[in-house]
Amino acid sequence: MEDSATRAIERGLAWCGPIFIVTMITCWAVMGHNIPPPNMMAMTPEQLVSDYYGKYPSIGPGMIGAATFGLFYTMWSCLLAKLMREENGSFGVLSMMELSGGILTGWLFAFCSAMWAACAVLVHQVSPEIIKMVHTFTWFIFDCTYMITTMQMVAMGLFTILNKKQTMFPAWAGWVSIAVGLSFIALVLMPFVTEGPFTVPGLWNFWLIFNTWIFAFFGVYNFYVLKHVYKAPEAQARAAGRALTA
Amino acid sequence: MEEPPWRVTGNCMTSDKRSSGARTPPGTDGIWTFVFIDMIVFSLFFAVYLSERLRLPGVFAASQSHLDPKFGLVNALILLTSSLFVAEAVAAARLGKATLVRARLALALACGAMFSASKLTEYVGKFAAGITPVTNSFYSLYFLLTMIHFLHVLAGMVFIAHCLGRARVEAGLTVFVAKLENTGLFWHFVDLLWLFLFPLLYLAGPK
Amino acid sequence: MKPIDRSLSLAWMGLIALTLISFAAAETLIDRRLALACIFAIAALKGQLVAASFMEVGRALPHWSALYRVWIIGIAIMLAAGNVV
Repeated sequence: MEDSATRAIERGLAWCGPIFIVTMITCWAVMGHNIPPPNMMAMTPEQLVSDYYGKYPSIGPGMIGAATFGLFYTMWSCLLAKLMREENGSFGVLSMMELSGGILTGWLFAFCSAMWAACAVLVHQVSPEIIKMVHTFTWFIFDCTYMITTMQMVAMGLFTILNKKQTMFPAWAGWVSIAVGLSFIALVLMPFVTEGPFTVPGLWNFWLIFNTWIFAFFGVYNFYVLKHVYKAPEAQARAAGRALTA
Repeated sequence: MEEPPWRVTGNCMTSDKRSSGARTPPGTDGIWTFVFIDMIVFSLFFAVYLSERLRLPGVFAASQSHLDPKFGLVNALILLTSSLFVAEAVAAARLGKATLVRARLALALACGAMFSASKLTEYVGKFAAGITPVTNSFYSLYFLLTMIHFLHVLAGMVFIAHCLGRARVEAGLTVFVAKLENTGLFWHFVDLLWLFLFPLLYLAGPK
Repeated sequence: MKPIDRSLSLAWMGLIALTLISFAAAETLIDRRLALACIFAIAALKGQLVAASFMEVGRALPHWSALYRVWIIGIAIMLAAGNVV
């Protein structure tokens, strides 16, 4: 493939990051009425139906939109994996950890959104108990498998910090990535509490975690990735800590 | 024969002096960055704690009265003493004194083990009394804050043990001093955290 | 056990003393606001002592020195204010 085509694809993949954020906020958060999500552990099945799924007809289409755009995260992660290659151009273990995390996180966004879409579409056709069961089950999958994204963020952080030759990402971004990834640990409490900061819509488990993930990690790395893919090939190779082959 | 520049010599703290004689900062910039970010994360935890306390003052007051402040006090004294030993180990490393480094690090590790035993005893007591991280908001925050702090203690002990293991061979090397300074900075931060966790969780409740 | 550096040992003694004073203040002071002010002021003082003597922030790069010291004071104030309410 010609270099110009490769560069165009990489730039397209870099823009998948901002597209993912905008579409997920629109579809999952706004249309899906997840600002914040309902506190399902404190709600009866009937309340979940009357106060959430049965109340907002936009949830179904919103979740289908989220299921579509969720995989844009994975496409962005593929570009990251390429940028995180070793000096000799091979995909090292950190690159593979990042890619694995990106694939699984993107799949989670898509799959869980599809499950919630099913709850929205079938809300008047199945019992409220089944709706709550599927809704809750899906949130457990979405939140309690946080280690998927923690793994990706720690890998990116370690690459940023330990690869002294790369100048694509500043060291502080790597440390922040690790810290934010590890802060997800509080999600282990989510299934068991009905009020307070560690519920699904809680101050820590929703507001802090989602916002730090978006702004302190994803937004930061998006910025530096976009900056990088518009550099000339020689500058890109230098920034990645790799010498251009003759 | 002239000593290589990377080896600490005698009583001269050459490991932390540039050729101009200026003293370089202890540790690497990375550890200062990491510790500061950790400070920010704990600041957020503290803010969430205070926000919950404002929302549920009765629950917090009643729950705090079930914590034994003597556990907090003992843990504070242990960690402060361990910090002294780690700081002394760093001072010894700068003088190239491997035996002293190992002795102080071993004592610091012993303190870490004592803290761990104390913490586990406290947790077991709580669980035996039917108190868990999901009992109420106070206990969710109590367990989360102290368990995350405890994980920091365990990580610090791993770093200290590594330095202890390498001291015999590396004690005279500049790179070892930097490694120990990094470990020390992390360990002192763990101590610093408990300086605030102790009064917040154990002393600030109503009597 | 001979101290390696007297200043470290003195700092440690000061920290131990302050910890015990803080504990006693919390246990004995009737006025709760006074007790809270004492224990968090002492925590800030202990924090500065750890930062100066053990962490050697005085030798750190100026921005780290400032940030660390400000964090210690800031957290003490935040926790004191948050508990007084």
